[in-house]
Amino acid sequence: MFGLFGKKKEKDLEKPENSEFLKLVEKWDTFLNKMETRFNESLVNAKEALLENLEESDYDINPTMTAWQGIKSQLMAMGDKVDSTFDEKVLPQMLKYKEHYELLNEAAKATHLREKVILKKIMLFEIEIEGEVSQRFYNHAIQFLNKDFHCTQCSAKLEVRKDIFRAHYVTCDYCNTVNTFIPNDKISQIRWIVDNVAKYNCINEWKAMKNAEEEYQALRSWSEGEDMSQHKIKIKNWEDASRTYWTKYFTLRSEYLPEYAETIAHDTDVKMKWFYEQRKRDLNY
Amino acid sequence: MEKHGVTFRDYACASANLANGMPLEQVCKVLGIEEPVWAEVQEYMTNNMSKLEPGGEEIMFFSTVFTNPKQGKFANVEGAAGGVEDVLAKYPKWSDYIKMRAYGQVADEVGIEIDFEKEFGISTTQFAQLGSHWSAYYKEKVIDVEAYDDYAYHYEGGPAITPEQAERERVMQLQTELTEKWLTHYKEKFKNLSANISDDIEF
Repeated sequence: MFGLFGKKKEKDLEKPENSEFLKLVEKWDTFLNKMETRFNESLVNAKEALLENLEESDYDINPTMTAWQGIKSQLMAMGDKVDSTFDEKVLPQMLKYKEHYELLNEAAKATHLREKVILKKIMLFEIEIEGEVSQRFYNHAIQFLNKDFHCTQCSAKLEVRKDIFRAHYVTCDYCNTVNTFIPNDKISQIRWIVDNVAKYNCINEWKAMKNAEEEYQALRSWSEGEDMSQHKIKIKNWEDASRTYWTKYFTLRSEYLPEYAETIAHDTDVKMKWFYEQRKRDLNY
Repeated sequence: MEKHGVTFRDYACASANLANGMPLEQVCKVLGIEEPVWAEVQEYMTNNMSKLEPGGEEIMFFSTVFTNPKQGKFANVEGAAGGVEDVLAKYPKWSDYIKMRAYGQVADEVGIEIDFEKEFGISTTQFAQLGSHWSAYYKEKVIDVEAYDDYAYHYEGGPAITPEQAERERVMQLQTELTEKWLTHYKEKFKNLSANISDDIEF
């Protein structure tokens, strides 16, 4: 029986592909190419539109970030469309010529475009666009802190700190009056966007962390008794890359928000906790 | 946890009232502090909240105070946010809440901001109060009721279900119907804004 199956399979391999099926594959490839091209073009257009939006709104960052969420939904929907097109249109037509198991490669093309291109690029683009929008907002808003502020009692120039973006007391060096400095809304908002700027400025470390994670995840599952030296090497690389990224991120953030300088090590450890839980689950150490 | 004499509970109540539209000036007056002190308190609490015990008393209080901000020092303050009963008096139906939620979802998808105050005459805190109220309803009617073999009951003449299970089925179905109804409504309303960027590409 097994011999017969073997022969049948060999025969199938030798058999030339049905021309109608080949046309369908070509049509499917064309569709995927068009979707990928449109996706890439949309990223370029999104960046231009969002940066313009920020400037036109006089640096009101909220509508720009909301608009980005809308664009992101549409970009994500392109991944869903690739999947649903395969399931609802491509697969039923291809099944006229092939068995389901013979079409796994065609299904994998959809998965690749959705996961390895669309979702991966959106993750990276999100850091870039939120970082760039936030950096431009920061450059605009920080100017308000560079203005001169004067003592309410004697009108002497006050030294307002450039790294506190909230209301605080400022004592006049000349007459010792305690003034209350209340920042405008834009200065207050700086506090909430510096995370994006910090993340953007360590994007290379983020990429290295993601690559190390992918290299580890690409190894097949380890089972009891097997040699796990490769897993240990790859997960160590991932651990080192993660620690490098989080340390740099929290260090950069503390340059804008000095109150976080003391907690860089603690905050990094908190972020690494998830990694160690996963390592324990996967490799039991 | 305390900063400048403001306890974490005071801070939680103050945050809930601020979210409900109480002016910062009034919040500071209730707490008996000036704005720069409040700013330090807020920064301290935000930075240290992760150190509180997960699921502990203080965290649990923070997660529920937004549904009833009229507590502690804010209990008898005029203008303090009321409890869920106030907003339920205005929007008593589950459909009202599902409508608002669908609006929020579609707005996110098309990238527009919604102003709950302008659209529905309620604050975002009141919207959150409605959310908590109806989540509790769903938990009681659906999650906490023992599931049954739906297919066997409907198509194979399976064993009879209890009145609670029948109610569970009704509530689940109602949720599906209402969500579909309001999502369709808002998708239609914003169809000009939601043209998909790949609508013209077809297999």
